[in-house]
Amino acid sequence: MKKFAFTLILIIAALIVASGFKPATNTSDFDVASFSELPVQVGGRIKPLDSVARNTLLVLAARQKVVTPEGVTLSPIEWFMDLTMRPEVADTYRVFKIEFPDDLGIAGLAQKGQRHYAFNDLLPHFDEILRLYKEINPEPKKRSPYEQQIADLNDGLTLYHRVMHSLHPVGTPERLDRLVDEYQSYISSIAPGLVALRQQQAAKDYDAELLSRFIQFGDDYLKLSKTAYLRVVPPIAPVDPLDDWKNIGLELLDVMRGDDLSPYVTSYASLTMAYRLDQPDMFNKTVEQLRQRFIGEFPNDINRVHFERVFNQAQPFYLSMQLYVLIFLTVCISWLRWPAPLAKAAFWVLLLAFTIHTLGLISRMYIQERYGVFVTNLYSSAVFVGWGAVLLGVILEKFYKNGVGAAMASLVGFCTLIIAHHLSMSGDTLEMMRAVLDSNFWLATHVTVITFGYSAMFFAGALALIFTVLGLFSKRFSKESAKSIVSMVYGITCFATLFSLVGTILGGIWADQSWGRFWGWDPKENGALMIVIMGAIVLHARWGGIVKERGLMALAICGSIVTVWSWFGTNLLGVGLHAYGFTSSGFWWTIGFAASQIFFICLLNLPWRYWRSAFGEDKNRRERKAILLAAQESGKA
Amino acid sequence: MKALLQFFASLRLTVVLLSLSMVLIFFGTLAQVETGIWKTQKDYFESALAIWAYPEAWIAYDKLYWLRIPMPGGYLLGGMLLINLVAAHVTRFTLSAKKAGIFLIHIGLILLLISELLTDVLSEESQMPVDEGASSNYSQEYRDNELVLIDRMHADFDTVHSIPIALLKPGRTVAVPESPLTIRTVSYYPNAQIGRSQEGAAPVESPANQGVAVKMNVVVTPTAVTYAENQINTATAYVEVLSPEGSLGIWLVSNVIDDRFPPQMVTLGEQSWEIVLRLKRHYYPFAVELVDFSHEKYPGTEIPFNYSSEVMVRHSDTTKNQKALIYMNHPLRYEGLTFYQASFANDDRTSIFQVVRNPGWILPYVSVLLMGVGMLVQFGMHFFKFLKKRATA
Amino acid sequence: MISRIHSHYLQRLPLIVAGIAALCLSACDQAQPVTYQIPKEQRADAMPTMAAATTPETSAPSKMNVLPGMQQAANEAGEVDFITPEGWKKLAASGIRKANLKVTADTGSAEITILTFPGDVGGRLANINRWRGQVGLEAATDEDLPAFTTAYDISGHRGLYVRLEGETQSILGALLPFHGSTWFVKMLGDTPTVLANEASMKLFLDSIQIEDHAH
Repeated sequence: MKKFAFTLILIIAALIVASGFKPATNTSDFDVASFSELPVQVGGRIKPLDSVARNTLLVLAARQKVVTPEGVTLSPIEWFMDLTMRPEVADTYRVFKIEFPDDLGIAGLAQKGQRHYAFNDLLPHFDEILRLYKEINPEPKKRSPYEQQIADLNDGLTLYHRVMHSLHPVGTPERLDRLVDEYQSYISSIAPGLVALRQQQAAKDYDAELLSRFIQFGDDYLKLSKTAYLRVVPPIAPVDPLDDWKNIGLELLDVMRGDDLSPYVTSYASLTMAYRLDQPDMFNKTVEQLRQRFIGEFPNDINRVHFERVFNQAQPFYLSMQLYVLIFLTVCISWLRWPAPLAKAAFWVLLLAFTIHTLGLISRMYIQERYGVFVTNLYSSAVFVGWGAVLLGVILEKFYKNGVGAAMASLVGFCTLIIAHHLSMSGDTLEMMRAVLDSNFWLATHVTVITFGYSAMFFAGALALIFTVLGLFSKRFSKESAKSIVSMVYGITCFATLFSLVGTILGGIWADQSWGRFWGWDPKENGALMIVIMGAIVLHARWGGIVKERGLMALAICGSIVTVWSWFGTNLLGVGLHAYGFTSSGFWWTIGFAASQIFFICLLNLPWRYWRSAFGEDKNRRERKAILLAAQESGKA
Repeated sequence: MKALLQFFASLRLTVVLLSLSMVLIFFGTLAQVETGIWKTQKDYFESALAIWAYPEAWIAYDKLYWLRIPMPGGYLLGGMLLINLVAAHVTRFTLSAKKAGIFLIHIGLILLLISELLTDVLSEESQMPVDEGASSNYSQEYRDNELVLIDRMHADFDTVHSIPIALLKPGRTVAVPESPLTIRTVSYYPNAQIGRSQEGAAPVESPANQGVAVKMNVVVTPTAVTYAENQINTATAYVEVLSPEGSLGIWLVSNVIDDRFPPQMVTLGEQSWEIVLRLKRHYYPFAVELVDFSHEKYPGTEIPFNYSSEVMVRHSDTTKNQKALIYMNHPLRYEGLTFYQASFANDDRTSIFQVVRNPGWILPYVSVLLMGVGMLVQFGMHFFKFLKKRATA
Repeated sequence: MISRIHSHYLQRLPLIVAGIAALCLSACDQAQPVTYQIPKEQRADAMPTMAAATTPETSAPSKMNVLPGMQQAANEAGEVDFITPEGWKKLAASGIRKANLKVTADTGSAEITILTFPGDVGGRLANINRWRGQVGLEAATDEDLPAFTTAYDISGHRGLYVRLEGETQSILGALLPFHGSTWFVKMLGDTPTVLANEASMKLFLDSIQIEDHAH
């Protein structure tokens, strides 16, 4: 039975991992996988269309799948293909998430029980949406939730519109069916068009119809150059990675100067036509052509682009998240039955989850080409906090072998990955960094060390939580177990204080190198300093004998609260703006977390007689004895 | 005496002071939302007492508007922590190998606290905008203003008489050094709206009888001081210039009345001075010429990824001339000053440097070194002890 | 137990505290007025004031004589076409200058500029007096204006031609209110050169075409 339990856990883990590497089911004959790997330049870096599709869908719909009116589920890239190549169909898909449609105040828009709306549903209300958008507070940190919804809706519609126009000009279905012809007639009209223009300026006779058609093209493509979101046309080889790619509109306009039309443009046009006319062979051939051309011109990037698509699909952090749930459940069960095999299984799965978690972080480094840099934005800081905590848990589990390390590792790992998932809703998590932050050295040192400090503080807090729960409710929680948790908390807090202090100091040195001020009393700096001081309080209180076990645990839980304030709370504030971030959803989660931690501190303060554990009973006995002795002494005196 | 020393050296005091520091920093951070970083630094961290007021933006303001929480300020807490640390070392710590780590950490900490105090007192930050192809030999403060009288009579140089704004108290007179003039302040407004008189505005009655106020009918409407990060307060004053022969007139001066306006001249016989109120300038014996400013963005975006300025510094002592490239995280240290790439303007044609004079800039590095070594020693010892215990257990 | 070493520190303690206190107090010193000398500085050309100059909302008071919003307004204003008269040299337009030309002769030189700003920029009289100040003439009043100004049509709209003859420097210019903004055309330079180019200036003014969306 024991062996069965052990093996079962491992099989479940294996299944979870395998699900991430399942190839995407593609029932059609179109080579969607290759299409999803076509590169484009967006937000300053080259990425596969797959990433664009996923990020756009996340921003609009807060999820990575689309359900058509017929009930078919589409993957992000399939939706993207419909959006760009069959817009009239895509407009019927429900991709716009509106959390509280009734609150928008737009008559006729809300549908009962529906939180996702299609473009066509919103089309009749555009004027109203635009009017409301003009009236909201221009300062994002000061908007009410209602105003934020309006802003999100408007921005979402704009993004949708711009992505739709990224591969080619958009118009009626008839136009899309004949894109290649359109380009041909445009190119042939340029020379005579320019001649007619010059004739008109010189006040001579000219072909009015020819000129107006030429100007029509020009206007169209000028508008397109301002709308198209993706830059799909690379410059002519040899290419500098820092060169701007062009979007469709810019490329078409440049043809007027005498440049040849880039083959990428015509290829995308034929892709669209093939897709619309249901010609998979034509489609696949063109995709292959594009791919080969890209390999020829960007030999150094092709592997990374391919890797990014695989990474998108594997979703390693989602896999780790599921594994952490499995681990936590396994450890909890191991405390009730089959402790040895389940603890061992939990440890192995923990190592597996940690490995996947690590591979995810390293993949991000590879894709961004920033080796050694774990954290570049809030999203990656959440992923890294989890990773750090899991690392500490693995080490503790190796030393103490009592499941506590593994349980807390998986708890913190799971929570932070959920937080990360929510943070990924704003778009590309592999975004570029602003100039002052763009120093690989400091990102790799200061940011990593401070974030690791966060991990450790959270881990110590989690240990304190488990101490409270076990101490109050578990009969088997002995003095020895309590002692081991106390020493764990003390050790981790030392570690956290060390890392937070070093990280804060590194930050000061970075600031001195950047703008001549070691310490600027910035909210983020203040938050970090508070963590260091908190750690110092815990250690000094312990050294001075001011606190014993319960006190130490309470202080560790305070440490968690201070860390959440430093990590998230300071982000909510808009300095000098009278904006406290009350309307941000993060605000309520932060308050909720703090309240939950305070609740545990209150639990800790329950008198010893309520503690059902062996440890608690022992404490209770000692306390009663001490009171009795004191009463006797005062009685005698 | 001994009991007092014991009190100051106690660990309980340390914990109390640290806890109060946390409270101060928390409320100080909240206060920054209302009054910006600079003012909050002065109120909370460079003071002995800070008082937090319940913000208007919070719920139940109508019921809690009266709530004020006083707390010890940065200087008081810092000072006490310093005394506590030193007292603890004097009474309790014996210099031994075992405590070496802690000693180093604490000495490093003392040095850091002292260096921050020195920075508060001694450091000067200003900015220097330079146009491409042009050069600048002065930097200007962010907030502090000065009243200057510029004598351009001499052919080879200009003479600047500078009076700090703090001396412009209404009714007070200040003698202008090395000149026959005296300034008497009629009124001073730290921030105001300057404009031509319009119906509906509530301007101050103008006592001016000379200069821009008269020629262009400019009036002053005082406003509240702003602490927002990117805004400058329009410091404004009506000043009377007195000479041995009596009053020469009353002028309106303001830091917004600058080169764009015709000069306001004070004349006494054959001498004349231009009178200006402006952000305080620091002139240097050298000029920084901006040879080229480049602003690189990530391809296809407007997100900046590097700004860099190629500069040529020309000193009056030509042996000190220097060429340099100033970019993010890479400042120029020259003549006791440090030049940082702060920002830019005018469509990439003007580069703006942050100029910092901080004689104590090396102290944090020294303290960091001490603390680093101390931590390695201390925690290293702990860790090995821990390993030994586990090995024998 | 306080050893000898510690009592040594103990004696030093008040000194250390006093030292730090003195440092703090020194920061409270009131600054004093000073006089110093700097290399000769050129005072930049005075630009028209805004109708109501407000607190400049920039963190970098740039040396350029452009108020925030001026550059943007200049960019948004329409394009201007003109014909460069014989002997005038066309320079690059820059910043808020929509046009920049120069003419040089034995008698001296003159610079011609076209600028535009939203609003009336202080009003007709203020601008004319500013120009008068630039050529060393006393400020005038409304009654004096007809002596040196005449109505003049530019780009199909009614403007004001201004002729200011100073001792060494002179200005020939025009003010044109144009759909909510004001255009300034000014030739400023040595008096002989300016006056010799009056005919060319009038031709220049006649040739000006401002992009007009209102009609």
